[in-house]
Amino acid sequence: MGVRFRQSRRRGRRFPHVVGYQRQPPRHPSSKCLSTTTMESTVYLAICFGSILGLGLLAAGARYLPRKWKKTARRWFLVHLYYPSLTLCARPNIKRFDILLFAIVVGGNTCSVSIGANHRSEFSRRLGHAALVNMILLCLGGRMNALVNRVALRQERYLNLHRLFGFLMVVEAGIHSVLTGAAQTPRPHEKAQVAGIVVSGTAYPPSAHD
Amino acid sequence: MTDLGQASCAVCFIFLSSLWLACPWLFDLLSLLHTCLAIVIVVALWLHVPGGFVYKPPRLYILLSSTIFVSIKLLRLANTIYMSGTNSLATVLVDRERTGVELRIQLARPRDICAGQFIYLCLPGLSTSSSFRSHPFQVAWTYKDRGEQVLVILVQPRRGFTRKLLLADPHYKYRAIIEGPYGYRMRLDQFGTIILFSTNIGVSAQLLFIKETLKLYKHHRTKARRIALFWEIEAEGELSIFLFSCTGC
Repeated sequence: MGVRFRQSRRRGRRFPHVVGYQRQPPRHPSSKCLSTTTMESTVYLAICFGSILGLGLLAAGARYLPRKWKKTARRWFLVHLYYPSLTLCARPNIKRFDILLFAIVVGGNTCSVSIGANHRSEFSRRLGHAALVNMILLCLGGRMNALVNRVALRQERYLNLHRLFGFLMVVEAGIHSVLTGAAQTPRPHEKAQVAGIVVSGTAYPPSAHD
Repeated sequence: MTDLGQASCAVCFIFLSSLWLACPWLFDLLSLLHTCLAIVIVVALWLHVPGGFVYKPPRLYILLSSTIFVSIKLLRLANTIYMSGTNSLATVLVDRERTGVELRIQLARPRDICAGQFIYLCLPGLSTSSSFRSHPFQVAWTYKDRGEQVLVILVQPRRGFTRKLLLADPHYKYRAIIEGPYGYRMRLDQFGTIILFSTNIGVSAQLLFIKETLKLYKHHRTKARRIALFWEIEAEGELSIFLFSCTGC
């Protein structure tokens, strides 16, 4: 079997005009990342955001922890993260906790999009996926609800986070559509492209409004 | 992107941006549009992403988004139905005071409301646009009237919904849709001195803190020995809010 296989391969290379021979298209550099066996960087981003939300829910409902642990953790959180204002900032209502949340969200998005993306199409694809990850948290809504209330986030802080996720989604989706539009030939009758145009057209105003 | 696509994007953008500029007058309507556009985006994204397994990205992300979206809406609906009770909706009496508007909400089902919490209020009978959206209001104080819980909300009329409250009939009981209460319960019983700051009608957010602390003090369940309220007012008439609310203490 092995010999036969080798022969047929060799014949194929030498005689491409032989019937049955089909030249395989060159593999795209990004096709390696499309394989389903390895996890993408945007999946890590989604897991990171999900973990933070889950941790918040757990911390809010941690009734069965020893009282001493709870007291120590609460004190540390309030003294070092929640109450201290940022000294360099002119606005006193920006706390260290806000900056931490901002750094996690923006840093996570930047890292997941840029690290290891060595081709424009790969970068564009990752931007689209990161925008979708941000959309998951955007779908929690722009107003208080039972889930957000359970995490004990203040309304202003939650609205700021909602705006930040909306802004990131619009920016990422915008760059994604520009890069993809520049690389692909326009096919106005294709359903996916029309849907992409609809997303580009509708994505800006909601985030700007809220 | 095609010319058609660019044009449609531009038209959509300009049209909706112009609506956004007129935001103060169309806030309720734009809020509804916001939700509708979010649904459009989710549906369009589902058509846009390449096909494949539903349980693998990117389809998984859209599935999660839509699940969360629907779950949150259902949770809100459940909360509203629970607050409405079995027989009827909550009723609201709108009184115009010297400094603002006082809303007395008679709840169909009593709820435990703590200091610092707020509710979403929707008054469909007030105007057409007000039935589209509910507005958040801080609870100033609560009391019981003939065995039924009444929430009092103090409102400073500004624009939109709060301005329409000035035109409301003071003798008419409006039907109201209530959602909540939301907000984190802040415990002040561990502090010896409590310092509160407010300006004008903003004191309504602090009144429930004072009432709760005084109640706990009566039952020897708080460490608080001193409450300092720093309140900046523009008219002496605003003092009546505080005096009236403290009568129940």
